[in-house]
Amino acid sequence: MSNELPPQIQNQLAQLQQVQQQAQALAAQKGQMDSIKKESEMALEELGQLPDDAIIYRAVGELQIQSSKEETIAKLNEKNETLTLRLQSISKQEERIAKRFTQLQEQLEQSMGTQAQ
Amino acid sequence: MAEVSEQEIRNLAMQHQELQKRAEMIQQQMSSIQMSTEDCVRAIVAIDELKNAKDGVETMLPIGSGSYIHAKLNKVDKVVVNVGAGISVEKTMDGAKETLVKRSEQLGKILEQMNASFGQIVQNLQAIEAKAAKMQAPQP
Repeated sequence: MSNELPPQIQNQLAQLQQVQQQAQALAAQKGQMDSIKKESEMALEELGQLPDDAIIYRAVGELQIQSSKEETIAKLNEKNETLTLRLQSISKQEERIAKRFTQLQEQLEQSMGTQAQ
Repeated sequence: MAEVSEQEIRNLAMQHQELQKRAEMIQQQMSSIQMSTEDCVRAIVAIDELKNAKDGVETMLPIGSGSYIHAKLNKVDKVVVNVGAGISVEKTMDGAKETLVKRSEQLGKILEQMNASFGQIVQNLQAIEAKAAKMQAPQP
C-alpha cells in the first residue's frame, strides 16, 4: 500500500508515526511519575497521622534506616517538589508534541488532497 | 461500495487490536493486584498467628531457594508496615492489622472497578467481531 504513495507523503507519514510514538512514550512516563507522586502523597498522609515520636524507617537501597518523622516528611516533600517540576516539564513537552502532531496531520491531509486531485 | 467496506473492516480490525491490547494490559494489572491482595492476607494471617507469641519465640528466616536459618523473634508486639514511597512505620499488632485490612479492602475495590472495565472492553470486542462478521457475510 505505502509503495503506491509518493515519497513526500511517505515521509510525512513516517514523521507522524514518530511523533505519535514520542507522545505515547511521554504519556507512559507521565503516568509512571503521577503514580510515584500519588504514592508519596499517600505516605505523607499516613505520616501526618502518626505521633511525633513514631518509629519510622526509610528504604536506602536494600537497607531500612530508622528516621525521624520530621526528616522523613521533609525528604518526601522534597521528592514531591522534584516530581511536580518534572511533571510540569513533561506536560510542556506533551503540548509541543501535540502541536507538532496537528501540524503534521494538516500537512498530510493537504498533501493527500493535492494528490487526489 | 466494496472499497468502503474494506476500509471499514480495516478500521474495525484496528479498533479490535487496540481494545485487545487494553484488555491484556488490564488483565496483567488485575493479576498483579490479586497478588498484592493475597500478600496482604498472608501478612494479616501472620499477625493473627503471632498475636499471642512472646519475645524469644523460635522461628526460621528464609534465605531463598526454600532454605532457612534459625532465629528468635524480638519485639513480637510490633510490626513494621510499608506505607509506600520506601517508608515503613512501626505499629502495634492491631494498628498494623487495621492498616493491612484497609489496604486489602482498597485493593478489592480497585479490582472490582478493573473487572467492570474489563467486562466493558470484552463487550466492545464482541460487538466489533459481530459487526465484522456481518459485513463479511455474503449479501443475499
